[in-house]
Amino acid sequence: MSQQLIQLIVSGLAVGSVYALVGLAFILVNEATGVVNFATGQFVTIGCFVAVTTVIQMGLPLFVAYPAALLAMAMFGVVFYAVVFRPLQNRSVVTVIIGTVMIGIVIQNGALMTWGSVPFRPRSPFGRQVVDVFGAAISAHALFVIAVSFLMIGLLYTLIYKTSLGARMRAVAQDRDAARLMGIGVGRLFVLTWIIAGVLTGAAGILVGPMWFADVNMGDPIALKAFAAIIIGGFSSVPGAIVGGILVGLAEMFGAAYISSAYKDGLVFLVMILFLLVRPQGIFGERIGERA
Amino acid sequence: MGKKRLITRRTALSGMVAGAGITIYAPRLSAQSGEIAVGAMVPLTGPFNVSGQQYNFSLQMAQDDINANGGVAGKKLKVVFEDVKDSNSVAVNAFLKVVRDVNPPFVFQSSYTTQNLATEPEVTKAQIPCMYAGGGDAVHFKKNPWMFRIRPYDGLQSLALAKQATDGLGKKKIGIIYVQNDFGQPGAVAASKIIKDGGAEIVGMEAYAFTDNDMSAQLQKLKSAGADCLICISYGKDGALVLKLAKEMGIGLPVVVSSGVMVPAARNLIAPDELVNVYGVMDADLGPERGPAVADYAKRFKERFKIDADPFGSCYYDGAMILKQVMDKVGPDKEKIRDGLKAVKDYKGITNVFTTDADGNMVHSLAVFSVVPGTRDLKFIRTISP
Repeated sequence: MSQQLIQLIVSGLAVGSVYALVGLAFILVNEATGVVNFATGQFVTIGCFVAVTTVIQMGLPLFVAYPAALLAMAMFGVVFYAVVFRPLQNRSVVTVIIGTVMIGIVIQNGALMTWGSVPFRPRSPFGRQVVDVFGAAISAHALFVIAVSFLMIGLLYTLIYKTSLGARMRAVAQDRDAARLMGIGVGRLFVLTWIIAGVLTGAAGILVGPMWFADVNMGDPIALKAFAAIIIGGFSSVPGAIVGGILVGLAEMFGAAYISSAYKDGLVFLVMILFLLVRPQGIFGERIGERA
Repeated sequence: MGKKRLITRRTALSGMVAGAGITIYAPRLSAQSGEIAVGAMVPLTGPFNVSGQQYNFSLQMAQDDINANGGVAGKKLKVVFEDVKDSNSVAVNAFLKVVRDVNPPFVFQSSYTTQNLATEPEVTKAQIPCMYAGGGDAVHFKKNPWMFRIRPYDGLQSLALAKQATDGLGKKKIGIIYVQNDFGQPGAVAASKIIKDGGAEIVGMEAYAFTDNDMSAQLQKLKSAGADCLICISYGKDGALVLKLAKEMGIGLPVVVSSGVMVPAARNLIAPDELVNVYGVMDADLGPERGPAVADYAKRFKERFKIDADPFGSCYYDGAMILKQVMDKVGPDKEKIRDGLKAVKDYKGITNVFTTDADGNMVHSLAVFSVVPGTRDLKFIRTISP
C-alpha cells in the first residue's frame, strides 16, 4: 500500500471520527427533543477553548485538564438546556431552531470577547510525535483522535443499547408522551441528553485543537460536515452517524487527492444532495411515511 | 376604575423617535461640535477579526497620538468604526451607513480585496477619498481616483514569492498551494506566470478552501509531482497549518510563504522546527533593528493592547499619519484630500516608504525574510520591488 494511500486513510479516519462525534451530538439532541441544534458548532468551539483554558492558560497537567474540560462541557450542556431549550421547548420547531441559530451567534461572539481573535495551539498528549506506519509518516495525535473517538462512540453505543438508562432514552426518543405515561422522567433524560451532547462536542473540540488550532470560527465548518454525515448515514441512526462521519472524512481526503482539491467540499455536499434525492433516509435510516 | 396613565403612548413614541434620532445623528452632532470624524471599515467580528483587530487597535492609537499632537486641521480627530465582518454586503452597508450618518471627509476601508471591490462603486458615488489595504490587483485596475492602497499589491507579493523560490533559492520545480478565493487564486496564477517566464517549471497548483483544516492531500500531491520548493499563498492560521502538516508529513522542501503567515499571530502557532527552511515575504518586520520610531510603535502597541503589532495594522497607523499631514494643509475638503494623497512622495512610515503612483498604490516594495534557526525570529534577506 503506498504511503500516500495510508496517509489519506488515516487523515480521513481522524477527520471522520470527529465528524462522527459531532454528528452523534446532533442525533441525540434531535431524537430526544425533536430539535436540530444549530449551535452544535459553537459547542465544539467552546469545548476546544475550555481545553485552551485548562491546558494553556491554567497550565494543568493533561490528565486533569481534559476531564476538567469535559466536566465543564457537561455543565455547559445543562446550562444550554436550562437557558435556551427549556424556555423554548413548547414553541414551534421553527422557533426553537431559529433560537439555536441565534444563540450560536451569541456564543461565538462571547468566545471572541473571552478568548480574543488570535488562534491558540493546544498541545497534544503526544506532543508532535510522528509514527511510521508502513513507511507513511503519521501524526501520533491523529491516531489518538481515532482511538478516543471510537472509544467514546463505543461507550455511547453501550449506554444507549445495552443499559436500562439507554432503553429509557430510546423510549423518550420514540414517543415522549408514552414514555411519560410509563413513569419515565422525561425532563431528567432531556438533561442527560444535553450533558452527553456537551461531552461529545467538547471531546471533539479537545481532540481537534492540537490538529487544527483553536479559533473562535472553527465550529461551524465542522458542524456543517457533521450534518452532511448524518444525512448520509441516516438522520436518526447512531451507526449511521458513525459511518456517515467516516465516509465524509474519507471522501474529503480522497476527493482532494484524486478529483479536485479546490472543490472537495463541493463533492461532499453533492454526495449529501444525492442521498437526499435518492435515499433520503440515509444508509441506515428507516423510511418513515405518514398515512393520509 | 382604571389607573391613570402617567405616560401616554404618544409621548412614549415621541421619546423613542427622539432617542433614535439622537443615536443615529450623534456622530454628525459630534462632528459638528469641533471634531473631524473619519470612517473606518474594520472586521471586528467573524473569521477576519484576527487582522481586523490589528487595525482597529492601530487606528485607535493613531487617533490618540494625533489628538495628543494638536489634532488634525486644528480639530480633534474621531475615528468612527463600523464592523464589516467577512461579508461584502455588510461592508457595503457599513460604508453607506458611515457616509449617511457621519458624512466623513475620508474613510479607511478594510484589508480585504473582496470587500474593497464591493465598496468601490459606492466610493465613486460618494466621492470620498479612501485608503484600503486589500492586495488584489483587481482593485487598482479600476483606477478609481478616490482609492489609495497602503500595502503592497498582490502582484508584487507574487513577484516576491516567485523570485525568492527561483532566484533566491535556485529552485526549478515549484509547487504552489493556495487558498481558494480572490486573494489566493490570482496570486497563485500570477506567481506561476512569473516562474514560467523565468524558465522554471510549475509541477502543480493545489487549492484548499478557507475553512479547510487538513491540506495533507494537497501537500502529498505536490511532493509526488516532484516539487523541489513550495510556495504557499494563504492567510495566517491556514498557512500555519500548512507548515505544521508539511513538517509532520516529512515533506522536507523549502517553503516560501505569503505575508499572512509571517505575522506574529501566525508565527506563534508554529514551532521553531516547523519554520526550518521557511522563507516569507512581508510588508515589513516591526523589529527594533528598524529604528527607534518602529521600536517605540511596537512597544506602545504591545503595552496597550497586549498583543504584538504587525504590518497589517501598522500600515493603517501610517495611513492615519499621512492623512493628518494632508489635512493639516488642506482641511476636511474631500477633493483637496484626494489631491493631497495623490501627491504623497517618500513619506517614511512605520511600515514602509509611501509614494503614490498613478493607480493609487502607495507602497512599492516587499521584504523577504528567513527564520533564525531554533527561533521564530525573522532575519531580513532582501527587498523586492518591481
